[in-house]
Amino acid sequence: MSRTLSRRALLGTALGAATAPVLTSCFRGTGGGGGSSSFGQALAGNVPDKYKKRTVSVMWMPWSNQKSTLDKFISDFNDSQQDVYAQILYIQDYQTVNDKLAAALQAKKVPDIAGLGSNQWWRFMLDETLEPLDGHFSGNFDASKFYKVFLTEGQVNNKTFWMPWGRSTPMTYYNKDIFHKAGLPDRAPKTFTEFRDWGKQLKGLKAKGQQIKLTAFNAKNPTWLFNNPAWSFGGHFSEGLNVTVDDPGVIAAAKYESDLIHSDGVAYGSQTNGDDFTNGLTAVNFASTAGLTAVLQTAKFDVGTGFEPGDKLQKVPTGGGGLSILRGISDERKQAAAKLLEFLYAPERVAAFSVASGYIPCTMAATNTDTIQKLWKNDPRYKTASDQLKNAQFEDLLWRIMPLTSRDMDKSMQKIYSDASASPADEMKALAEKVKQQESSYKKKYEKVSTSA
Amino acid sequence: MTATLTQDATGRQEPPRRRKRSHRAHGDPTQPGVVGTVVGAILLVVTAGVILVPVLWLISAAFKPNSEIYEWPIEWIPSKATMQNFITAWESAPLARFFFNSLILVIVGTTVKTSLAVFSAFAFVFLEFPGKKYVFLLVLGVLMVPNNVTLVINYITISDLGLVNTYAGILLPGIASAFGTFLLRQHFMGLEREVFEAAEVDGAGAVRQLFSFAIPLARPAVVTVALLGAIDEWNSYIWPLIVVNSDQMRTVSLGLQFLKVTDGLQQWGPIMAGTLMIMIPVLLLFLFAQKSITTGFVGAATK
Repeated sequence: MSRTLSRRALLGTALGAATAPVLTSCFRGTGGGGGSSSFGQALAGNVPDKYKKRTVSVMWMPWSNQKSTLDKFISDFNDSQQDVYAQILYIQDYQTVNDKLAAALQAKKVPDIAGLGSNQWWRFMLDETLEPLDGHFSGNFDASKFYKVFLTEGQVNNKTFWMPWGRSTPMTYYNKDIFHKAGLPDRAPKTFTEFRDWGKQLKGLKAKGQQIKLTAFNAKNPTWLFNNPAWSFGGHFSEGLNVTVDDPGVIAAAKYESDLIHSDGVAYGSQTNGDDFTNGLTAVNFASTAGLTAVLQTAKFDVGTGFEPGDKLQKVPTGGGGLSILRGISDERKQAAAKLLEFLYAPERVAAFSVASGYIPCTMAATNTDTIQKLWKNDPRYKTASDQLKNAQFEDLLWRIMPLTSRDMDKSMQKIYSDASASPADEMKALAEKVKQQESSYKKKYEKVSTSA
Repeated sequence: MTATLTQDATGRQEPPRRRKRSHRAHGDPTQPGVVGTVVGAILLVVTAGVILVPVLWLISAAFKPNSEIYEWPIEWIPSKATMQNFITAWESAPLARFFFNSLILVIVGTTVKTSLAVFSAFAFVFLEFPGKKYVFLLVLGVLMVPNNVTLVINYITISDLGLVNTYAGILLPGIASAFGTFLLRQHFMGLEREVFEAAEVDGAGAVRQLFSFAIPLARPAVVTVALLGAIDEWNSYIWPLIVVNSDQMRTVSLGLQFLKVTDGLQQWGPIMAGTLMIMIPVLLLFLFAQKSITTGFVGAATK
């Protein structure tokens, strides 16, 4: 029938027309989307005409709530020189930067600089997609300017791959009003033994009709904070490439927290431990130094800050994020990125970002600026984080290079917090087994990268 | 209500129905008694509560200053009501641009999605072509593939086509809705065949049959597919997250993330206010068209 023939003809031509672009994209894909061996660029928006002659440098930053501060840095940079035009894409958190960057690397269209979390950058390091930065140092963008503990975390085989930017550690926040009522000294607890004793002194004190608790442990992401008690009790999550969460030290730390909850009844696990603290329900909170401004604004009581406790050792983990340059981009783009970083690491900018965001100023020069010194003079609580740096060390190796160890430990700790019958020893042994099952490919890659980097 | 005579479209009469004798001495056995009504009412109130209370909390929190949000007992009507959260949310990010982008995407996306679903469903039901069964099984197969599996592959394809960070790039992978095709196919299958046969005898081509008969008769289902497509497009998050690389092209669901803090305490006031601003268009859309959606689902089942 003429009707069916014409429909068939129509379908045939339509199908032919549709496959053409798909086939060309297939061939372009295997060709490597950008001509030569270097990656294409993931632009973060149209380039205005007046900047069209410049090299474009794209930064992916996970600190989207610092948009106004960072936007000003970028526009100042663009105005201050003629060669590079910088763009920022704001992404809400480290995990999303991780996902987007992984997809971008597959599609071979990447940004120039990426802001990577302390637990994220090793993924890209192990896949050898990060540029060694030492050859690009100049001016403020130089290894010697940074605090050693932050800098060495980003170094492999004495080469630098990841520079500090928004770094933090946890610290102790305490409710001065509750401490005063309970007759406790006006300071953070120095040891875990002392901390446990103080819990007993809170008996009988109430807030909003409930018995005030000593502390609420972060049950959402307990792992980072758990480093402090684990190290304090003489344990390590891993030593070199061997998982050691089933060591007596770590188990003792887990048992300590479990006892506080289930034996003493003075603590509990909470998804909203920060909010519980600012509502006066707990006397002490362990949380990132980056939250200080928000806590001071929300709490209706006098807030005190101090170092996290320690019995055998008083150590805190580093956290937050830093910046890396991608390896697969052209040399021209790498130089442009280095120029941008040199501008950003000027002391007054590092200081301005620190004050606005709550992160610790990561260079010595930034700490010495008027901005920071004035802030500390007005409110010495802001100084606690920088003072505590002498106790800071980066997380154990397997917890940095393997992406799922933190998540698995989160689950184990959540079980310990919520279930009185869960044995810390059994949970840690099961966790060690799990890590051992996953570790081989990471170990291989690490051995390759750490020797050849 | 005893025997009734019913006539269908062709004028044949059906034999009268017989009613079974009821065991009750009085009252209609198909209606619940007093106890049944009360229990039913309680269940409805509880269910409504479970669904509505978080929404009411969100509305209440959007108008409270940050320090009041976690107050216990909950103050449902804030004593220090403030519009500051809305102002903060609006200023933290170019929400107007995000709304505009989402609007474009929803309008274009819904139109194309619905058209594709209508045309393909019509073809599956009313047209004969070789391999029809296998093509339909393929469409059903699409329904079973979870989104996450295809994310990276789609990204590579869209990137090679040069469509990253464009409206086309955001819309294309999701534009063919297997669910829409399936729903409309079921609906079309329930329509009276005689109408279409009569139309064909009168000389109506396939296109005429589609536009003059199928769509008007299945209007609730078409509206349902359009509405679900619109809501889906408005709320879509994972794909735009991967494929959008600039603030200019962000959608409203991504824009909300600007208000969250990476390390530290969240500012819940502006986050709640932003969420409320994003919820309202969808709520309004649903309110206007809820009747069509429910008839659309029910119609497909009973026919």
